[in-house]
Amino acid sequence: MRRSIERRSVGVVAWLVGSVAVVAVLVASFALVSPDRLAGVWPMGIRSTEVDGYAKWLDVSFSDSVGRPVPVYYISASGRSKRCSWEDHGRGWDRRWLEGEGYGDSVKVRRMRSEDGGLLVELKEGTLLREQRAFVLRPAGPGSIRQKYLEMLATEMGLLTPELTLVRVVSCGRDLGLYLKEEVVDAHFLQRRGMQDGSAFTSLFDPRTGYDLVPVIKGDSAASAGLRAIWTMGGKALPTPEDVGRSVDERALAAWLLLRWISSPEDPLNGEHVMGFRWGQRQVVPVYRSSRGDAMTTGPLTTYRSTPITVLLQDPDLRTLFRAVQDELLAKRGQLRERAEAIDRVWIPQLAEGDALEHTLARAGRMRDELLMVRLSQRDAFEQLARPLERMPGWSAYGGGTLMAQATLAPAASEDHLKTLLRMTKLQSVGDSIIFPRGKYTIAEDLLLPAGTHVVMLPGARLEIAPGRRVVCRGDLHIRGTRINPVFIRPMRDTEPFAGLEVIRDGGGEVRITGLHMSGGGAGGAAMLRVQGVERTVVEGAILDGKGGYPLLWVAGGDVFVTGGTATGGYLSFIQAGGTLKNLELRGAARGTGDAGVILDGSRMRIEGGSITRSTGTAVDVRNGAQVLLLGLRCEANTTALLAVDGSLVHADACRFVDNATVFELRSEKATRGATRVLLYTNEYLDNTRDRVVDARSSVLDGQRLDDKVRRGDQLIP
Amino acid sequence: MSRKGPSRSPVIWVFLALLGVSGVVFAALLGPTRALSIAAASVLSTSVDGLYEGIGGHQLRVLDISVDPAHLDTLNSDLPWSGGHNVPAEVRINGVVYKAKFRYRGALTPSHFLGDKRSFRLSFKDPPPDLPFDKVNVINPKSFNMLNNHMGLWIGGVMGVPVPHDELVQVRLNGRDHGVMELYEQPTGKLEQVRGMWPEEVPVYKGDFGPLQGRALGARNLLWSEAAHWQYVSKADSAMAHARLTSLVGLVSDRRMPLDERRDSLASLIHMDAYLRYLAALWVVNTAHIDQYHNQFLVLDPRNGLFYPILWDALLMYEQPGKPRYYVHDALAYWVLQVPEWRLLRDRHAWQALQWLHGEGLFQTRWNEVERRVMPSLLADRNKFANVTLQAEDVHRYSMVHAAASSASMQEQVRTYWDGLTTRLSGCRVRSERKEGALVLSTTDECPLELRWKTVEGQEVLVLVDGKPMATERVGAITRLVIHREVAYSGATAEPFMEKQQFTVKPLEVRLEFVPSLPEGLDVINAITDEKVH
Repeated sequence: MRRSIERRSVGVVAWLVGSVAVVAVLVASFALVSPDRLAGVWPMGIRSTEVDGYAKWLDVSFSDSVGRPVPVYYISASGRSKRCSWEDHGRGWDRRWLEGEGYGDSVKVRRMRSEDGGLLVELKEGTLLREQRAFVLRPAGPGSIRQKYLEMLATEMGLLTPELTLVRVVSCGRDLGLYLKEEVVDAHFLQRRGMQDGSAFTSLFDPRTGYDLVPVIKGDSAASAGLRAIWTMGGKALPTPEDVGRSVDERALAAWLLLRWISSPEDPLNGEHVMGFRWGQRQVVPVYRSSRGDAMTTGPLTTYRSTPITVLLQDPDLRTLFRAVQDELLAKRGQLRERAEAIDRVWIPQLAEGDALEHTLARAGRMRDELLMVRLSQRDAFEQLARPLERMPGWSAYGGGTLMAQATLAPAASEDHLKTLLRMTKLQSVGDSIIFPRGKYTIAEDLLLPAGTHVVMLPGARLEIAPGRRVVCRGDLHIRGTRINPVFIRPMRDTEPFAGLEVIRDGGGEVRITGLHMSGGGAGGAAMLRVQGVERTVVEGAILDGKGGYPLLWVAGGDVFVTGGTATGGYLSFIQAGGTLKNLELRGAARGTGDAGVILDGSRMRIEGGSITRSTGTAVDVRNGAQVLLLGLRCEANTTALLAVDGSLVHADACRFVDNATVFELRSEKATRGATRVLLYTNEYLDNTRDRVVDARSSVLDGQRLDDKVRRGDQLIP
Repeated sequence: MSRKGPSRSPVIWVFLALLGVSGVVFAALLGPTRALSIAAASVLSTSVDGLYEGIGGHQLRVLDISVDPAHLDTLNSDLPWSGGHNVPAEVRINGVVYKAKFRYRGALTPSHFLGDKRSFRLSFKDPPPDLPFDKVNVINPKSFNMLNNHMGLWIGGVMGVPVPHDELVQVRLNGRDHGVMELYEQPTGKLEQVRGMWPEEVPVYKGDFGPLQGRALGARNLLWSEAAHWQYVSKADSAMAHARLTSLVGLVSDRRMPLDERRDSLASLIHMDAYLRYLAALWVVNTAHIDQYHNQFLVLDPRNGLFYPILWDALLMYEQPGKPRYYVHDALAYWVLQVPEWRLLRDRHAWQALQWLHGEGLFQTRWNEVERRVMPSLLADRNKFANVTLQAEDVHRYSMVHAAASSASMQEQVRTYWDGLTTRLSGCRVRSERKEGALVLSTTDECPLELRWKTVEGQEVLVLVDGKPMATERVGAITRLVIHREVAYSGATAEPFMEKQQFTVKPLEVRLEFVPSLPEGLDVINAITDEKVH
């Protein structure tokens, strides 16, 4: 049989029959097949978006659900460019008029940089919309219900998470459709949730990104430095969970990881994540925020950048916590499902906007079941979160870390000068220690001792240091003077100050000082006695004399115990340190007045007993979220007895404030720091000129009785 | 029945004849190998690459750039000389448009400006958060596989060396696909700021050829002969940095200073651990692309006032000539590699990196991952240009076949090189003999040795090495002594500014005397690998 090769045209009837038949079959399918089945997985590569598309046009099934009205936000054209928000693709802010939910004012608006089509809105300082100061508006669709489920789970687990609501955006009279409104996670967000000392930051775990290696807290370099110290984990080549310590809230982290897993099991840590940093506790608290629809994603992560969060994935304790959170949630699965269904009833009619409601509901049900029934019950979820870790590029320069002794790498020790001293004086080198026995030592040049060398000064040792010169110890320092037989450190010539004695370490070791008489240092504004990066600093019975209000003792980091000494004409500064100052006598000057006092910058300190007198400056200066207890302290004849700034918290009990020009001055300057507070218990006030100067955000409160545990010293501060 | 074949048109014969003639002419003009390479590249890129149907989207970030075509014409008018002025451009990311300046870059390497995929630079006044750099280079990758530079830098980064951000991107220029390119951060003073390491700009010096002078290449200066040869590329205050750089350059060009003094002085100016990791990275990456004249950056570390280097343009397996143990790529390396402790530390860094990269397969995993991500874009890229012969001017379109072969060959080259390096670092056969109460150790391998024994309290052991007392080091319950190796310089005269020289390790024969006696449980260890020697 021969087949005809003649071409035949397809007639109009054939076209019509073909089209109508297909449409009829599709309409019948949507009318007769249950929406649950339609919302399921389709074979032959048919994608759910295609089914949704067909459902939108061809699903004629009737539904009587009516959604609640959605708040409408009206956004005007830009005051400057006169363009509407959808016309503007620039990166910068524009001022526009916003009206909605009882709010009406000009606001700053710009495009979101992490998601196409999103808008970021920042209200005027001092104005709030539903208690929020800034929020993002992201285009919403039927799939947005998933984000609402995840918000519900986050709330259930006690995670901090921004509220999600639906709004309709009308810009320049044009209806742009539904948007998800989500509060911006910033200091204001954290403070509203009781984290007074909280700052927000974002972090990345993608090792392919060569920038943003360490998170930064905008506008707060002190908090950034604290966070950087946590993030670099001591510069170790292979950090372990022990190196992270308690710097991450593990309970919140376990919940956060579980939610990340549930929301995106194939790639849980990709993208930008937002977290809170508690300045006072030096702790990172993860915040759950829905993932952004970044168009520039580059596939799943096969490794993670080594950060405290990812290092903790090796921690068995975290695994236990993770499982506990998972079990807790599994136990509540029934309730959660009911709550999700309640959310559906409110959200789905709005999201579906009248189209294919049943189908949208079925699709939502599938999503809900996938989250609650499938993913939540996966027992190896924690194990599946793990990936190999990569250190950040350049870690040797940025974070330190060596394989061999630092001695071969550190700047040159003053070996010649040390040799001269060893030859010409009684100075001894024993093992890894340099010992100053009783006698006189003239330090004519900078004396940089080799790294790892400990210094011991015995009773009766007298160091005379040339003008502008310093002694730098890069090991432990032990000054073992007694009250009768102290160690003296003085300038070579009385009128020409030396720089100081410095101890610089990498976070370990000890400084222990007793019976020290030190005076005449601080050339060029240097601290006379500087201790940096030492784990524990103990100073007993030291007499420190200075002039002009320069730092007499400056300690950065570690635990500090300073007891029973005097300091005149200068400050004792403690930066990010914790501990006790007990029975110290601080004076502005030996005779008359001068600058003197204690500076506590981000520190957690108990000041017990002692006095601060005749200071022309501030007796106790507390700043940057420091937490301080003043117990039985006498402040007399000072210009200001207590200055507390930027989110600091001071408790004062059994203190005497006598003859001060101002007793309390409280300021809250940095927006990210929260309010400054002073809690007063039973104190005595006599002959002070002015009681207090307190700005609008700060407060002086009356405290209840101080806990006995705190009074006894079993607990450092309340 | 006779069957006649179809008659061939004379046009076909003419065409074939012209093809034959042109083949002969090109073979005669260029040489047969060169002509064949160019022809093969052309045929393969047309035939093989055309088969790809474009399934699947890009897994690379897409850089969507718009430049006025008239401006592009002016830049293209007389390359490479005409491409150096900035013209306005826009970069679109996530629907947000960022204003930028656009210019071509690279006048020395023809693959930057010949062909249709030209390397360019984008400068931002206010950069996007996704590309937070003032300046980025978007370059035509230098190898067929497109990964050499990217992976060379990645290795450096893993080893702890500061490196520029580098990633492969899919570029769209004026709405049309331009192909896969390499986005390469240009270091500026904001280097640490964009990494979150320091809140302000830091001093950064660039050591490279000078800028173009009209229609001539820039000056080729010996970087370490004068501080002025380093270009300052930061807005940070340079007073302190310049004083320290001048000291450092003075120190490097001074030939009389004793080694001990030089060591201490260098350590007071350079972040030595970072620098030794940098030297180790050059060795592991096996690159000679960084030299006395170019491809160097120095940053003054704001935390400690020491300089550290940035690994830049470290082409993977751009072989160091003569398989050197201690390659002297510049005058600073010449002095640093003379310090035995630093040589040992560099070797230990290299050894540790080999364990991670080669032993644990980190490199291979990463190569596969990057290749998997780049593949859809690479297959779709009909604009792949590179040198298809060893002649600089032969920049032509190449095909996927080239890319595949280059990838396989590069992986094999890396494996072979690292196998050799592992053997070289771990090789440590030592001959020991007792002679007149002394221990004589000898070896022709290159390993430094470490003697270790358990410390006995109250019993100090004095060690004489070739009759000279040596200080031992006590680490916990162990006492140790490192016997470093001596090196010889390959050049005729020991000169820091000679090019492509190396230090070779001299054979060791050392006589050890222990007073009062040989300690119990003495072990001889390879000081690099910490393994006992045989």
